[in-house]
Amino acid sequence: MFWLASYPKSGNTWIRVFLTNLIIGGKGTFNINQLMKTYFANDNQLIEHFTPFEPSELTFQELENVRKRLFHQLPKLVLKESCVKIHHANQLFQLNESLLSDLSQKVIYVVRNPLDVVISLAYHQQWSIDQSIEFLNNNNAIMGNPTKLNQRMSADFLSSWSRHYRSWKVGYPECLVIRYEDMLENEWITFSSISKYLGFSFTKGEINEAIIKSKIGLLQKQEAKTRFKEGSIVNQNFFRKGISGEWKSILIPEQIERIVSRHGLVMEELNYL
Amino acid sequence: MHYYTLFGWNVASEFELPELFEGDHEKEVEIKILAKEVAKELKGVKKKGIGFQVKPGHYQLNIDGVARFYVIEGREIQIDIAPNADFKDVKVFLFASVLGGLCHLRSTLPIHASAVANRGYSYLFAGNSGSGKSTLVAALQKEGLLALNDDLSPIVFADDNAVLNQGIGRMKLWPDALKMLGKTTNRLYQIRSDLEKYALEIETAETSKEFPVKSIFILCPNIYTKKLTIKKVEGKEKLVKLMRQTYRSQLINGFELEQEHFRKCALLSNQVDLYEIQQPRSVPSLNEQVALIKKYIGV
Repeated sequence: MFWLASYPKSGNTWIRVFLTNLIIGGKGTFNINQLMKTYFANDNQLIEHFTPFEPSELTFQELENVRKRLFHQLPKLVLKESCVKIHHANQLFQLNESLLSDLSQKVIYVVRNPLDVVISLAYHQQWSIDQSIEFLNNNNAIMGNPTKLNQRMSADFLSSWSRHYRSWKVGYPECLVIRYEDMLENEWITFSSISKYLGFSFTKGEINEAIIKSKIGLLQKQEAKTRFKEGSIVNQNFFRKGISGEWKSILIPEQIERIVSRHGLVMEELNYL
Repeated sequence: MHYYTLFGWNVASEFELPELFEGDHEKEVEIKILAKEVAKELKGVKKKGIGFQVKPGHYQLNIDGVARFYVIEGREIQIDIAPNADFKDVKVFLFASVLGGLCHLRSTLPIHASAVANRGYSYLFAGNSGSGKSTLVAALQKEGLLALNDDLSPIVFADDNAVLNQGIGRMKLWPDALKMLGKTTNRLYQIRSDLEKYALEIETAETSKEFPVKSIFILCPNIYTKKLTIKKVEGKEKLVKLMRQTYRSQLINGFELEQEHFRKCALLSNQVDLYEIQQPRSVPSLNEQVALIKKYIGV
């Protein structure tokens, strides 16, 4: 079992597509609705199945504590060949405490240029770009409503985009950081590093084949025929463009400035500036 | 002491629990609820999970900042309340996970379901958290049906016949569910201070009656469907799906009750009709569900 952590709309689904193709190899046909076994860290059913708590009757702080304890034990509870997708920052809400502190677990952290994230997030959430920027800049940002926990998926504390990145990069130094842009531009090196980090011994040919089968165009074709179950119920397409640098033609200078002035240090560290 | 009736059992409690139905103090007490110091660790524990410890006949639940609960042999619940804890919070855990463990220890089959009664029979609505069990039962109560239980329905096997009793005199609902029912939050109290979930009274007490279980409906929210559908579950699937509706099933192996649990599920499977309802998420869906259920239970 490994963790796939990211700020929302940063490309972690694409990694699961690649790994599914890698595992299937030449044996089967890839289907966007049959990705590798994936648990969602904010799925209340994890709490219902593995703890004696009714998630909708916990306060957000209690839920955070239960999750921390559950996540520590998760490798023993879930399928061995699976991944757990997580958007939560590696920090508990309003506490200086890591959510995942057991450093023996494998964590892949996917990061994407925040200038592109704001656009994708706005589209996905049906927000304006300015709302999206405000969310990315908010140190207390929570995705979902923390006082209304009766949804299947509960709220996630994300913090700001920079703090989210640092919570994983610094708070979980063993994690493998993957830049979304490298999946596009240096695909072989990037996807090979993922395979190697997870301890797989696939050949160069097998990795190449999985990369080809995971191209965005093929995913879009499938989605045009059949709805992607993990997609938003509001928008038609989850696999939207799969490009980087869209911000150059969409964001106005004032919006770029609001993002860069807030996240410039981390953006420089990741060569986004 | 305060005396109550809970799922047909006579309860004596050192705590005042107005959510429970009034009991008869002259009857033999079957369950005691006591204020007592509870040690952090349960001795000889067989299974330890997140917040709970179990061994045959014993169950402990520790909630930081709220209370430690210790259930002994299904006949005693000890509660050690944390300093400054809000008693409302204590009751939320008492009426859910603690009673869930107690029900396993009292040889019932606790189902994660809300329930109503009609013409002497009981009908259960099972499903995961957020599937709308309480909302549906509140809507059926509004239609004049007798609400029996909310969220937890422990089935008792009287001579191997599955029956259900009324339990706690309240349902727990979110404001959007209350709105769907045409109710406001005025004069209702929040079950926890930090949570927008409200207590709605179960209107009629029928605590001395046993209701044979007739049907179980599993509620399955489905955001991809626009149409409400119902399907009868039969064959091998039926037992498997019934077993999955067990309340706090993670405690069973710690109690060493696996075989007993299987036996009860098989008994139940032979006696009840099981249906799966695929629900679209909209207000008309609730009205449609009420109409559909009324048809299936013969109202």
